[in-house]
Amino acid sequence: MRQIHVLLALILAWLLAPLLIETGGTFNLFIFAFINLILVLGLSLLFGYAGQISLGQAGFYGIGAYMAAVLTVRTGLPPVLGLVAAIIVPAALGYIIGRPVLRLRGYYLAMVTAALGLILHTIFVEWVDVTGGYSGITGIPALTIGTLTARSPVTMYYLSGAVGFTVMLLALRLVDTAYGRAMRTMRESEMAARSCGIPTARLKAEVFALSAGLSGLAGALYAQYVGFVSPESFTIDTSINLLLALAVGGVGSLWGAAFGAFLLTFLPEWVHELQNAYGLVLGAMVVVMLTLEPRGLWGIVLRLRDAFARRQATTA
Amino acid sequence: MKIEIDDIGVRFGGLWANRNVSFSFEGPSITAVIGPNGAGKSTLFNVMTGFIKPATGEIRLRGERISGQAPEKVAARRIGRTFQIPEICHEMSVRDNVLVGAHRHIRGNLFSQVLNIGASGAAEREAGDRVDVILKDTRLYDLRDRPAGTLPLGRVRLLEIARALASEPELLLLDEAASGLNSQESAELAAFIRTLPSRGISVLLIEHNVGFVMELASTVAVLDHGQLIAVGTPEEVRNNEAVITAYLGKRKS
Repeated sequence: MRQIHVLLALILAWLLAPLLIETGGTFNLFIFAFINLILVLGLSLLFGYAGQISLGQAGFYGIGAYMAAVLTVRTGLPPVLGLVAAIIVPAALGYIIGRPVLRLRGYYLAMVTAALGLILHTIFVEWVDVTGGYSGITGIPALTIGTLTARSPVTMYYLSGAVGFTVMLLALRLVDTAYGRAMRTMRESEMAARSCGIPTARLKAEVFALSAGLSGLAGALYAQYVGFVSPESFTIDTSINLLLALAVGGVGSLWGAAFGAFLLTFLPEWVHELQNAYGLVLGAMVVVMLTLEPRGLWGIVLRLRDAFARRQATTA
Repeated sequence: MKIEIDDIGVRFGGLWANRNVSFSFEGPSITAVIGPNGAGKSTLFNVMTGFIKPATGEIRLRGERISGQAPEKVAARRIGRTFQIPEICHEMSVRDNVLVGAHRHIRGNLFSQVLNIGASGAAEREAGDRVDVILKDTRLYDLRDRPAGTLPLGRVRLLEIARALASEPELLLLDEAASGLNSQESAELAAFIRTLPSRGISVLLIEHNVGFVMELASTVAVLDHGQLIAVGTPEEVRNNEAVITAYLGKRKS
């Protein structure tokens, strides 16, 4: 129940924030934060909850972006259909690839998913007829739903926020269902999960497909907002940054994922006086966090809450 | 219910972990498999629950072969189990861990569960009610909201039993359920296990604590070096020459 209260407060803040935001640049940051939120939530469900690592998320992110771009620019389909395809195609591909690949565990799965990301990146670069190679695709039409076109930063702020909050809400709900409990049990013990009748091979592939679909959704939002896609947005760097953002935010928590996503977006802005020091700051945060508080920023919130509760208990 | 273990053989490299193991039992009853460390007891359990495919022989439930099937398929045949080293989800609450056992009974897919449409909600509530009864039976009810990782070992073993019971098994396999428990805890556990057959649940126990099983089981099978060396009532097994040799070593004469 209390999670819902926090979420409602955040939604209220999100709705009212444009009254305080003056520059388009700040809207831009929030839009990218919501896009990153969808990406990191997908990774959190896959890695944090189901225990399956992926270093290939950028590949699915890219497929989503290129689906949205190619279908609208090259074949003239409406942007909404591009968005739908950007979810379905990576999800289906994720399932088909996930079924055999997710038999691997730990380091091996990390390597194979990284390789998958490299293959997809190479396809974005080399399949010039479709993807435009390094020059990418320009002139991607903005997302239009009915008469509403998300071209201005403010409209896109609301649209990406609505999608981001919806994904957050559904993810919070998911981890509390039988499906979510099965994921969490599988993460800690595949043997226990299977003895309880949970078909782990299928479950892994489904969660992989889910996170691929969410990455694709994020990719479409990105492409349709920026209006331009090129392969450099979908390198292994992107995949690693998503994983690091999740680690700093908190691996086993959806709120931690949200922290991580916002940090990933805002940190480069905050430290841009230091130019390329962004990597230094994020890297240092990962090192410090994983050694001192493996539950990430969310773990610190939990500690503060517990300390506060203890103080309440002693003074009462 | 009848379980037939028929000529089971399992090979790890050059070593037969189980060889020519055959015995059967009918339920509802309590049966025990005992033997020294490394006798192949856990291997036999892993064959019975689908984690190991046997090199020879088969296991039949009501005459139908269950060995060689995937563990989740075996679970669907109403066979539940616990683990020698407990396998629980530490950060999840005690109640949620037990609910995982009821997984098969909660219908619906990812979408119907998240959106709470179709029969998912009702199935979840029914499972929750059953789980609460099981939590009371196993005296875990007061701890139900605690993260499972904070429980002491005695409670964790009960938690695994509770989770297996939530799947509504016909046969419950307990792997060293009493190990690591103090005498009061293991007496309580024995009393609880004794109530299961009256609810139509057969129990197959693995133990190396012989005292624990002798007063609990009606049939005892003894493994040594992967082979069945004796099977019978506790009294018969206690007086069996081969069993005495396996446990105490050969008398020098």
